[in-house]
Amino acid sequence: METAIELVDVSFVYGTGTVFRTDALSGVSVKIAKGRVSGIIGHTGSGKSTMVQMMNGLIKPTSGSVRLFGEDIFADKKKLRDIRFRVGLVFQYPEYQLFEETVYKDIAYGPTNMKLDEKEIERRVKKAASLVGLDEDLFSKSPFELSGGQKRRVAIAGIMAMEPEVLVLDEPASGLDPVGRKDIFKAILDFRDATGGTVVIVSHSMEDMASYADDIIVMNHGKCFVSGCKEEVFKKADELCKMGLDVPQITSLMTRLRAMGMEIPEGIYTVEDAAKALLPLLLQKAGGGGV
Amino acid sequence: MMSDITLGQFFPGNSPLHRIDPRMKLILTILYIVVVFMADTIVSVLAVLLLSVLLIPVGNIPLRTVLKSMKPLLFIMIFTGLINLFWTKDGILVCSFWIIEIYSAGIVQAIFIIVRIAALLLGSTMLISYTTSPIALTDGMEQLLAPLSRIKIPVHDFAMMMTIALRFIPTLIEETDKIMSAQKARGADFSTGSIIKRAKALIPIFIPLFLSCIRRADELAVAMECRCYNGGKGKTRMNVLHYKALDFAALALVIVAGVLVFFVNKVPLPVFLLTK
Ligand SMILES: Nc1ncnc2c1ncn2[C@@H]1O[C@H](COP(=O)(O)OP(=O)(O)OP(=O)(O)O)[C@@H](O)[C@H]1O
Ligand SMILES: [Mg+2]
Repeated sequence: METAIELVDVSFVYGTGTVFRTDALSGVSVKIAKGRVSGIIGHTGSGKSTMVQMMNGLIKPTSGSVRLFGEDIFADKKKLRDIRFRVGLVFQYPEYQLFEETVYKDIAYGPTNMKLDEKEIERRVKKAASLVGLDEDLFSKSPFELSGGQKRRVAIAGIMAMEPEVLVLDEPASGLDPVGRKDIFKAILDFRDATGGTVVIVSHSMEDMASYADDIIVMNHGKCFVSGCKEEVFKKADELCKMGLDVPQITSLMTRLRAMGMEIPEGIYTVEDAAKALLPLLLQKAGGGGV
Repeated sequence: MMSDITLGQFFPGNSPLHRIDPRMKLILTILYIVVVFMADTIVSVLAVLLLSVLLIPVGNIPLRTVLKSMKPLLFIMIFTGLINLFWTKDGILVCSFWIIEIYSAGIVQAIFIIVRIAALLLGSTMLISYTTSPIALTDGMEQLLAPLSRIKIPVHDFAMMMTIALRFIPTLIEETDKIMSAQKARGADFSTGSIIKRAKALIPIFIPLFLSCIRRADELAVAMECRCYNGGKGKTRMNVLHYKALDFAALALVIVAGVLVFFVNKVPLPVFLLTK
């Protein structure tokens, strides 16, 4: 499988030489596979945001290197700006970065910086807006008149409109209601399907990661605790629990039922899958003249 | 980049200098400045500088940090020194070339001025900037100036405004940093192009920043009202300041230094050490 982004033995220290020195990352090596959705999960302060800001060259690792399709992104300073167009980063609470008079102009800010022509910008803005589910009637409104969830979508569309090869999102769904969360994740998956790009999502929620991610990277105290496809990662459920990170509730329920002797396959992470696995068992029981 | 700016230079610690009551520190600083200006011979001013240098190990501040923060003022010190060097025409003529004549008094005067500025800066920064947290400082200021509220000067309100402003400076720096990064991620370019282009490039930073300031101010006001804040009237404090033995010891020390300077000033000096 081709690697889109690779961090090689990366460390980062905030506030070197001051009293407030923090080792945010120490010796992290991870690979992000091309065309897949990778989830980064970990506690508050485990270095997730620091890690994703390295992926588009906003911060330079104290040691180690960051590679985009095999190239060191810090090799040529002049190319950093291009790197940022190739790796689109949506910050935590991106709605606070909106500034333009209209929604349209705000989404177009990135593509305009790319010096695309009017027509292409318009095409991209419309496409990004439809991906995140924004109505075109909103284009002429001020972004400050929108609801929180709509603002968030405008901000995400602003990055999607740059059509990056890798889309990185830091807590894209935090502070939204369940429906809002679902919509955002759906938009992200739609983007991936439409462009064939790679997606990296930072999240606190194992449930969300279980439903939407293919690979998972677990961060703990600035180190990569485990990474791999989600089936493998969730096999370490016990260790994750010890770290205070939960596997999805439905998965731990299934694990316990299996421990009690029910024949349930491994690798169930969503309620739908659980229903599919349980239904035949229940029918069998009912048919067998039980309760 | 923004995080490199050390604001207020406060250096947390628990040295005797840190523990002096902030009100006393303000008084001490004023007294110290008086002492520096009292010292009017090269010997006494050097003695004062020595005293303030001794404060560095007492306050447990790394020497490198102190030197680094003095660097921006080096230019002013040297410039003032040079002016004094060339414009003082007293004492023994040391050398002359072209239209420049340098006298012994000029050399002494130049050193005197440089040492005085250095002593002034070093002493007051050691007492205030490095060892007093900005919040403790405004607190001390408010209580020292409290008598002024009798003549209807809103001391408490000014102190509260200052405390809030100080409290939010780091937050705003952090916020600016974050917004800049977010706009850079969208391809913003702050460092190339004409001045007008660069000024325009700041709009995507300033608008979100202003909005966030206003939002924070609004939230803070509501939060304060919810806690029944209604100005200084009848307000009690969590940390009540008390003068301790240490404070009076420090006061005594500065007064002793002042008396010493007074006598050292009177010591007769050989003519080549005189400024006039
Ligand atoms: N600008 C900064 N200056 C100094 N220290 C910082 C800064 N940003 C983060 N840190 C520190 O670096 C560590 C990692 O922070 P980071 O923001 O990467 O964590 P995170 O995993 O994203 O946390 P969260 O889930 O809360 O967003 C933390 O200990 C934090 O205190
Ligand atoms: Mg974070």
